[in-house]
Amino acid sequence: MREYILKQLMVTVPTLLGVSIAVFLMLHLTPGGAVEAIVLQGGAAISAETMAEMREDLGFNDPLHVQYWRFFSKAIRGDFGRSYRTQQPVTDMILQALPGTAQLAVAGLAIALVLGLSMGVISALRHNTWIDNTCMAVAMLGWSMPQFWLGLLFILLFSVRLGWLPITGQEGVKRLVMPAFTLGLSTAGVTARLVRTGMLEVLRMDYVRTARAKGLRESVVILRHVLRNALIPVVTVVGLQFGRLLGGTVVIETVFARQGVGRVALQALLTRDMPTVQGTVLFLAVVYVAVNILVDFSYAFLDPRIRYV
Amino acid sequence: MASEVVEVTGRSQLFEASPRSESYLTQSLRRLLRNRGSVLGGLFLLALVVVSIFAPLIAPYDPIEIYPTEARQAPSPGHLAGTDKFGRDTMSRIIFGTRISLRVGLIGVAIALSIGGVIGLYAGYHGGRFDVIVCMLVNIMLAFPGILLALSIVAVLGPGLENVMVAVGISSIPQFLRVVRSSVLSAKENVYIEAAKVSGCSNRRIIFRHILPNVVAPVIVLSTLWVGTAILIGASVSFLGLGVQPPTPEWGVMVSEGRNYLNSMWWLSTFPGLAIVLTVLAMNLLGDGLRDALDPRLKE
Repeated sequence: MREYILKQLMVTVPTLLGVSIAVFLMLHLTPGGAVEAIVLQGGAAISAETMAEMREDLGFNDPLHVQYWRFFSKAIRGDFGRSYRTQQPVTDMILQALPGTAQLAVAGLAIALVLGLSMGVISALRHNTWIDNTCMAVAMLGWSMPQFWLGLLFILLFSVRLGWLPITGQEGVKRLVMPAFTLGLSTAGVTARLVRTGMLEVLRMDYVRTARAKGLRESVVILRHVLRNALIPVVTVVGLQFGRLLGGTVVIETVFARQGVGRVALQALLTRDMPTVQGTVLFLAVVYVAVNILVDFSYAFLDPRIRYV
Repeated sequence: MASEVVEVTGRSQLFEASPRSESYLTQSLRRLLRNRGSVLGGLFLLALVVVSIFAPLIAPYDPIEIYPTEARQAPSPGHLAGTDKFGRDTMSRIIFGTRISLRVGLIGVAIALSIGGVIGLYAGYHGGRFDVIVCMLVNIMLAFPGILLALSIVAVLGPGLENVMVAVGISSIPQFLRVVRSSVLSAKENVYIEAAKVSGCSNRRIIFRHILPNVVAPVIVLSTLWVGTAILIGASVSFLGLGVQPPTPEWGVMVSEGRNYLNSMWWLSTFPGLAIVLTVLAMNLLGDGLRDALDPRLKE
């Protein structure tokens, strides 16, 4: 197990390093460069000499690797500089927005897992029946829908027409229902399909046939033998879907006007507020990689065959 | 014995010719056509292509021109999907938007396939340090969750249709690279590859003659499925304001423009979104059908 963990870390560290380089380079690949992005925030026209001075003062004339080392050594301490737009420390902006995103991601994941697991299990147990076909059709419809459109449909139905739920806002469970369901429903479709495939594979195993031949009740066969083994790949599903969920928060937070890291990232992208873009994108990428590492470790914990490969 | 057989069947089964063997392509096509979902998806896609080609002839109104006297009309026989605050016919804009969405989907996939496919082929076949570096780059790209990579690329390149296509294409490279690479790795294990090498075949001949045929089927399936995903990514980027800009009739832009009018003009966001759903659903149905047809073992 220790070797497996070390092996995973050896892959993750260069990946995160690469993400930090990519995020750093975004600032320098922006047309006009970093200084023009700062000038854009101010709105006023600035002379070429002043811009050249700014470049020198802010260290943008230094070699790229020197600038990267400066960025990296600060980023590793959680310092992403100040927003060009608000002058607020980017780290503070992320920490303020984090609870909103965390709530949404966790609620969305819970809904995706509950719905996805239910549909996947039912589909597998009723393989090649109308129940299976209906569940998979609903699943396919779920992942074919754009999240922004689904969110707007929910607003139209539950807020505008029925008046049951508030449209926007942050506080309270009622304000979380629609965003969480929007996020979870589209992910549930993919989850259902993966769970169904996993279950079908396990249902074909000899030990399941043996359990049935021994006369065990079907519920015992499913709960004790099938589900426990079929749920192992579901853990992988959680990791894969978490990325989709995190990316989805950018859209959902915008549709429902919720404050969150995704919305902060989007506002920064729209206004070319590059330090904020760097901070939020790097933060979301690190969270995603960290979740996937945890998923890999738990997968190895659940399935001993993986540890010894 | 033979005479009894002849009497019962009217002809001698002993002398019955063996059934003509069908090519793999014919068998696959037959399986595809038996799948109602994929036939439906394929027909819808065909209809979309026809609509996009003949949009100026099919659309009843100009998609950009303003008709103030027709403003804010609900769906009616004259305006099937209603009009917006400028009097622009929503259905005409959806029809012209088909061209944009199909372009984003197809060109995005073409970019991803041409770059990711070639690199994946080379990395999978030759392996070594190049393969290690490629895998690391893929991991870096995949570390950006969801559409964040496409959004970041568009933020660097700037808004606009061409940049959206490039962003969608680049952000899709990892998926194509991985599929091609794993197909090549799998094909490389076959004994006939070793036999070809031993018999003196050049790498180029091995790749084109023996490896590529094994790669074609998964690539066709992924390409079909990914066109739908590419359309979704492009529409999302445009909805968020970073992609195609108004007044271009792109479906994501139209949904975004309509979101402030859900109370008064619900049709503005609903119908363009429905167009996205149906298009992506059609691609998914067709892609699933192709996967089942090209390798029935994958279905189980």
